[in-house]
Amino acid sequence: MEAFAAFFHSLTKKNQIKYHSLVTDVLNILPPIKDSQDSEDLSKAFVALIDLAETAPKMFKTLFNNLVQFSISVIQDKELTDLCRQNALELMATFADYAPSMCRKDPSYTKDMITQCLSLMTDLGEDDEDAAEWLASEEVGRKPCNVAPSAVLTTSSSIRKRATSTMSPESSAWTDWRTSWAGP
Amino acid sequence: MDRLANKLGGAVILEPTFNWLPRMMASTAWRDRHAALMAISAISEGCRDLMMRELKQVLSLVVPALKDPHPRVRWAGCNALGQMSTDFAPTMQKEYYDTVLTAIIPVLESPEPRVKSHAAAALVNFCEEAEKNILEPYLDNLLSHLYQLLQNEKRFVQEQALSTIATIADAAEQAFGKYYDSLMPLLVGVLKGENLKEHRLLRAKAMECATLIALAVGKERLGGDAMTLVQLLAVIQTSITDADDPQAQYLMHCWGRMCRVLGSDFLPFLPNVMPPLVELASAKADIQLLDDDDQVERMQQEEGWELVPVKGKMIGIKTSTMDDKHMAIELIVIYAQVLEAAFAPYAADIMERIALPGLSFFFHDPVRFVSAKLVPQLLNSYKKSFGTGSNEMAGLWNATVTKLLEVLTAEPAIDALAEMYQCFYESVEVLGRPCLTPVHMDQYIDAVSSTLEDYKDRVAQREDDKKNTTADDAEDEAEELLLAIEDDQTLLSDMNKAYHVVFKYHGSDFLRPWERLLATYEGFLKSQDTTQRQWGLCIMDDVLEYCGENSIHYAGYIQQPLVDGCKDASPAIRQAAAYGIGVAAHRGGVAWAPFLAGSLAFLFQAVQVPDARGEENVYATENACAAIAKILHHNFANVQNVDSVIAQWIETLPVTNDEEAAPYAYAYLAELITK
Repeated sequence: MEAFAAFFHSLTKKNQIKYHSLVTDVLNILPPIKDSQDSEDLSKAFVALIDLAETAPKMFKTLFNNLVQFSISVIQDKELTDLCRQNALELMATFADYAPSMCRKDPSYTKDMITQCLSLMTDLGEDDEDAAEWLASEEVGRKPCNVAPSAVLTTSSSIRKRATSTMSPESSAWTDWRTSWAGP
Repeated sequence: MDRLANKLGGAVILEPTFNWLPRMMASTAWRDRHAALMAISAISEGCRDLMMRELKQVLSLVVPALKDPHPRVRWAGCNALGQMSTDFAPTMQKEYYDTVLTAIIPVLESPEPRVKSHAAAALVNFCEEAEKNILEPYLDNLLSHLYQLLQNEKRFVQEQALSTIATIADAAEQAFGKYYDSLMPLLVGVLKGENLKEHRLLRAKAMECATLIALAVGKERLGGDAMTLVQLLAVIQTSITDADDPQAQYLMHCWGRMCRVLGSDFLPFLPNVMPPLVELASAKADIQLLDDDDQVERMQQEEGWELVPVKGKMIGIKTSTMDDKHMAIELIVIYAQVLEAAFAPYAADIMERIALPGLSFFFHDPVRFVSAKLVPQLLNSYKKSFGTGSNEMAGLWNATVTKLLEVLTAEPAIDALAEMYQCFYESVEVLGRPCLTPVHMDQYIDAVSSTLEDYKDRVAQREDDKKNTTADDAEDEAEELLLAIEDDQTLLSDMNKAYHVVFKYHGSDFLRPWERLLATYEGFLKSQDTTQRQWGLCIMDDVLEYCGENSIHYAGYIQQPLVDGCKDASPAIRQAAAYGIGVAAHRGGVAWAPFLAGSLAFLFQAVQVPDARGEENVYATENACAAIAKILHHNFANVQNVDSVIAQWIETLPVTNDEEAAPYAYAYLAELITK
């Protein structure tokens, strides 16, 4: 899948279309990997798909609902690693960025994604029920911390908008999602 | 959630989201309540329009969380109110100020430092967008609480309190004077204290706070403290030795504020302030060419680098250097603006070393934008110091104008190019006299010609794309398309203004180079596109306004568009057409008399459109009224039945919006009365 994504990426838009029909075969690789519970391979496959989704999201159109359901099942699967589940989530969010109309029209995308996001957002403060550890930390507003990675990534703007008000333009580059959490 | 909200929109995501949120807020598990509040923070920007309509309900879900027994839920509640204050401004401030403030203020008393501090942070969001009359009744309560936070043993709480106080001062302006006597000595105390490494940020925030208070209350109220403050800033500046000392950057903004407070009294400090600023502002781009993927990978891990693809290769640009450069130039703009003539000793050097190179600093767009703002300010400072006809002025202008014209052809980004046209016309306007040679004018037309060719290509490309796209793609790209069209409209509008000033100061001398693009103007005047027709008309208006009797040579191009323009569905075009007819009457000379007499009927027609006095149409209507007055006053030789036309004209009054049109209409009315 990495090779296919890299090859596909190198083509012109016009030539890419010739390979659209291969997408079924590409996606069929996924279920067996999931069945084997190989988080690492599955995770890499998602990274390759994210690349494809950025380049040609509409290529997935006919199979989109299958892909949504599969990705949601990965996001939910606590037996898989966090990284793998995050990459599945990122793939879904990538479609929202690059083909919102396809997401809007899908019968389950919006509802399932929102349910999963909200559910993942409750995943914080592990072993810190009374927030004693959190309260002892002083890094308020400097760097997002002590929060499950998914929450940090998706709600970053609110924290950051406040932390650096208009008066103190501190430069703090926000590292790209994949550079800090994924990557082959 | 943030991305879903922004990309899919409120209409799609609100229903399924709010299907969960009330249940989550009612949950006994604090993690559910926390997640619900963070979700609200995340989606408020993307769902702005629809959530604003239900603001009361959303608030009723959030506000109770600020009394939640769990500290992290209270924290998240503050976060949500803060975010909503930013995203739903100014409605939150204007309609729900009491709900918001009475919810947040008690959280400042939370026993947990992190929660306290976050409540204070949420107040920053709220106060940034609040009017002073809304804040005034709450100032006592707010500041007594924030004063307490300043006494807190945690430094991060003190730092946050200072930021919040600073924001409040900035918003409350003079009303903040009441707290001046208790706060300023405290801040001065911090700044006079020992400069320990762990106190740097606190001192930086104290500086920021003190100078924002100074700006809020003004020079009179400050009295002797103004000098104390700037002298303290000077001491701090000499004490900074480490490159990573946060005080350095804060200090530069503080100097800028004190300059705005003190005006010309700031001059003695300029020699201290300028050298470090000039150094940052003249920084070269720190770039690295990345040869392979491994290097790219490594660079991505490192903070503070932006990766830009250039011709199949990647280059890394150090963003912090660029941000500092941008900030420093922004501050130089303030000094030039405030000090005017007194800034002249620095102007030529800064023009040569910073502003002009900045115009083609392609590594960082914001640097080009701010350099374009700086150039006219530097010219103005020279003009104020030496006079526009001086040799000094001529020297600086000659060094500048070539570069200004050059960037008009070199700039690749549409929005930045509009900015470059603006820089050009503002500069010519500063000179305020004929300042372009025939060669310059030809170069200007060359630039316009290339800009317009590119523009036409973009328009054609958009047409082409429209034909070859599916409905889904069109839906996904609608927003981008709208922005691209807007950028082009801004560009055309700024070009119009550039033509306007060139004609204004060069009149008929500009006609020869101008004529080179006559076919283009003609095409625009006949275009189906409103923006293009308006552009063409505005250019013709300039010819009529500034080329006197020469304008009649172009009657064949102008007359029909003026007549058609009066009947156009677009108010902007009716306005441009009416204005054009008016200036033809005023300045075009007798040769225009027959046309003008014939155009009266169309002007009266323009006044009678439905809802002629509505917000959209009123400027077009008033311009038509003024144009008729100009014909009747200046150029009525061919008008039949003048008296009945006058009687009809009276009915087209009043002119109460367009300040340019009003004097002509009422001067003529006065003339009729005295007759």
